[in-house]
Amino acid sequence: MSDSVKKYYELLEEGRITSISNGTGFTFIYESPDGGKTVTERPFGGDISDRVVISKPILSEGDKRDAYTILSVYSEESILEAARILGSR
Amino acid sequence: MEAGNKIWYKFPNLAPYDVKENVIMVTNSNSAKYIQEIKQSIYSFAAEIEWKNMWTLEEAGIRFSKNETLFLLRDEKGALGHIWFDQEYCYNLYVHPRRKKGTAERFTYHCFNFIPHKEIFAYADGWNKKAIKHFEKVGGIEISSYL
Repeated sequence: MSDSVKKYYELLEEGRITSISNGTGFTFIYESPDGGKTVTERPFGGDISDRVVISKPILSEGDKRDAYTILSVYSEESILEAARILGSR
Repeated sequence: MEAGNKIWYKFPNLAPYDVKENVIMVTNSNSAKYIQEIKQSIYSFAAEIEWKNMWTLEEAGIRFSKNETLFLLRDEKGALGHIWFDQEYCYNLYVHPRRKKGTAERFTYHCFNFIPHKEIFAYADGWNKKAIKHFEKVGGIEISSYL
C-alpha cells in the first residue's frame, strides 16, 4: 500500500475526511479544515486543486437520524422558527 | 404520532437486494443524455395524476445541480415510474398503474442498492394510504413508533 493511500485510510479512521459515493458511481472525498463549517469535495485520487467548496456540512448518521426524528415529532412551523432563531444568533 | 399530516418512515437499507429492474440512474453527470426519458416520466405522471407540485424539467435540473439522484423505471412501453434521492432522503416516488404486481417494491429495493446509506428516510402524507402501504411493504418503520 502506498504512503498516500495509507494516509487516506488513516484520515478516514480519524474522521478528518469522509469518503462516500455521491451516487454517480465515483467516490469523493469530503474534507473540512474547520470542524465542518466549510466542506470541500474532490474525487478520490484527485489533486488538492480539484477541491470544490460545497455548502452542505458533513453530518454523522446519528445527527441525520436526530433530524428526521425532529421532523416526525414537531410541526414544520416550529422547526423553521427554531432554525430562524439559530440563524439569527 | 404525526407531525402535521406527515408520517415519517425510516427504512433500514439492507443492500444488496437481489432485484433487477429496467432502471436508469440519472445524476448531474449524465442528465443531459436522458432528457427525453425524464420528460416521458413527467408526462406519464401528468397523464395519470393532477398535482400542482409535480416537479418539472427545470426543477430536475436544479435538483441535479445539488447532486440529487433520479431513478427512472422503464418497461417496453416507456416511462413506468420515478423516484428522487437527496442523499438518504427519498421522495416523489411514482409508479404507473400498468405496473405488474410487486414492481413498486422491486423498484424501491433496486434503488436502495445504489444509495450508500444504512438508513433511508421518507414521509407519506397521512391521507395517502397507497404510499403508507407501500412504505410498510418495503420495510419502512414509523419513526414515532420507537420514540
